[in-house]
Parts: sequence; structure tokens; C-alpha cells
Amino acid sequence: MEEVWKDINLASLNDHNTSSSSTSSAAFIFQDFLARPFTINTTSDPPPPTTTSPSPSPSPSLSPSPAPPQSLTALSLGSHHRHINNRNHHFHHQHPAPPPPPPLPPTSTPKLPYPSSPLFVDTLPCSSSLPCFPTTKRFPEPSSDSSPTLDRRNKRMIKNRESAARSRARKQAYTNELQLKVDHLLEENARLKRQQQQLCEAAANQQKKKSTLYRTFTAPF
Amino acid sequence: MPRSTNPLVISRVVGDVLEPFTSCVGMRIVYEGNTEVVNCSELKPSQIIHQPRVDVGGDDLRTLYTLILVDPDAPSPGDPNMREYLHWMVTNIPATTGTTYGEEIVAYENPRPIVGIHRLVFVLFRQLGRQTIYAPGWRQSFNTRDFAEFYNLGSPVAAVFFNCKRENSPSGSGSSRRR
Repeated sequence: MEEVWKDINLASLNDHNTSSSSTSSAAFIFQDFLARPFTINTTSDPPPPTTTSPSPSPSPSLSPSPAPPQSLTALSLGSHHRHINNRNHHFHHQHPAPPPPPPLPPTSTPKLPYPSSPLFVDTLPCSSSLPCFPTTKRFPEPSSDSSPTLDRRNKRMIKNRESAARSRARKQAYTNELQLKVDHLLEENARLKRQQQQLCEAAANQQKKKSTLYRTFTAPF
Repeated sequence: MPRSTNPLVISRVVGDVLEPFTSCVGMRIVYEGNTEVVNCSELKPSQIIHQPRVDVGGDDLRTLYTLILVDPDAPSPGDPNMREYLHWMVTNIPATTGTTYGEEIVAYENPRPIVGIHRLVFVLFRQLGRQTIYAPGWRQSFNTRDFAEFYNLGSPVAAVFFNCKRENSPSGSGSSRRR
């Protein structure tokens, strides 16, 4: 889940991530989240507006769902292939060593929970559709180098990703709330059943003692 | 990796509005039509026109609480420049009672989000004693953390949030946000 929020943070810090940071491996891990649906040749020149070469490459690799992030990033930086393979472990290892240049909140970096990988599987189908857009090749470059249209598109994309991330967070929160509720209700159910059973037994025991009729309550008058 | 499963954390209510806290007082909020506010539930503006019935837990009638309702996603979740918007503030609520027994410092204003899906957060604070809390000059740009610090309210004792979006969302609701 923290990855989702890192996503947002990255998106909002988009302008701060320059291409030079591609050399920093730690920063690149973050950048490749942004780069994932975008062009993968980050080490090459700043992407031309219509890059056909990188575009087909994400799509075949995206078809198998859990595998793609690894192969995608393998294309971008060979060194990161194994990083993404063991995403969880390497985030542990990576972050203490090279401090990531973008001012990401430190709390978000070590937390890459394994169970959140389904979230990434969710996002993959979305990203697989992105190569259709010719402009999504844009790696998060600073806005100065391109036309305002691309810049606007970029901003729109970032906003879209943020809102998608919020949606995912909402969905996750709702699911968790339901899970908590289910747990509570099951507990309560079990408790009530036990209670009822006890009362039944007590009542049954009571019944055995009574052999004759007798008054149990005095009349109100 | 302690990933919290608390809905308040996942939805970033803890983070955007509150610091991490431990819930220790029960609180039940029910809008008209018997719609109880459950974390991350979605309510329509038409369901939240009037202030809800709030039942506060606790055990000692002498303990007083303050309840606020804020919208951290005002005017839109993508650009919350008015974070947070204060919709309601009731103070000096005795434990085991409800907001009807407290003092309404800021009148309930029914949320009417225009853009996006807003989180609306009810936060309950325990007061140290009976105190006079003054309404802020305006509703927007309210800061719950600063407010709690200013009035020595400490950590929240309970919080619950729900989602609300425009009543009649235009189809393809994302399009209006993109400009």
C-alpha cells in the first residue's frame, strides 16, 4: 500500500526528478514506477515525442501480469532487473545505502509489504493500455524541454495517477474495514452462541429438578 | 514491515489530518434514515443534510469531549488548497451523551462536494476540563493538529470518516478534473 503513496509522492515530485538522477540507482527505483508505463529507455536520450521503438517493448512484456515489472525495468536498467525481482528485499537493502535524492518521506521507503503486490497487478492492466498513447513515452523530464501541450498532458497524467492511487487506497481501506467488521461479527456470533448454549443447558438442568407444578411468581395483586 | 490495516491509515486520514493515535472512546454517528457512518462508507450529500446523531462513549459524565467534522479534500482531492474545511464543531460534550448536550461552536454545514470524492472526518478529542473554545474566523484552511495543540486537547480519542461525492456525477466524471 505504501507503494501506492510513494507513487503519489513521486508523481508530485515529478519536476524534481531530473534525468541525471537516472544514474542514481536508488532514485531510479522510484523513477521506474513512473517510467513503468512510459518509455523504458531512460538511459538513452530524452525521449522523442513519438517513440515507436520503446513502445512495443512494454506491451509484450506486460502481458504476463506479475512478471512484467521485472522485465520492464530490466529493459531500462539491467542492474535493476534483480532489484525488482526481489523488490521487497532490495528496498530494504537499497534505501539505507544511497540516500534517495528526491525528498521522499523516509517512512515510506522501507515499507514494501509483500501483500501489496496484488496492487501492482491491479495497476498493470492499466499500464498495459498506456503504450497506445503516443505521448506516454515521456519520461518525467522537467517541463522546460517540450511543448506546453506535452507538459499539460504530463500534468494530466500525473493527476490521473494520483487519483487512481487514491481510488486504490479507498478500495483497500474499504476492504480492510469490512474485514475488521467480519472479524468482530464472527467473534460476537461465537460468543453469543456459547452464551445461548450455556443458557440452554442451565434451563435444561433447571427443568429436570421440577417434578411437580408449583408457583414460580407471586401474583402482582 | 508493519503495514497497517487500519482504514484510517490506508486512506491517509492518519497522515493528512491526524497523527497516529489509539482509539479509546467509542463513538457512534448515525445520519437520518438510520445510516450509520462506517469508515470508508460512501454517503450522498442528500443523506447528510442535517447533523447526525452522535453517541459518545466513556463512563464519567464529568469528562467532556470536543467533536469536529472536517473535509481534508476541499475543494478537490487533487488540489486540496482549502484543506481542511471545517463543517462542524461541538464542544463540552459530556461522556455517554451526544452532541445535543454539547455546545455547538461552529454550526453544522452540510458538505456539498463538487469535484472528486471527498473524505469527511469526524474527530473526537477529550478535553482536560470544561473550556471555552472559540470558533475560527473562517471554515477553510482549518488545521486539526494545530487546533488540538492550541486548546491542549492532545491526541484524538476516536475518529471515523466517510466518503462523499457530488450527488449527480456527470458521466465520465474524471473529465471535468483534467483541465
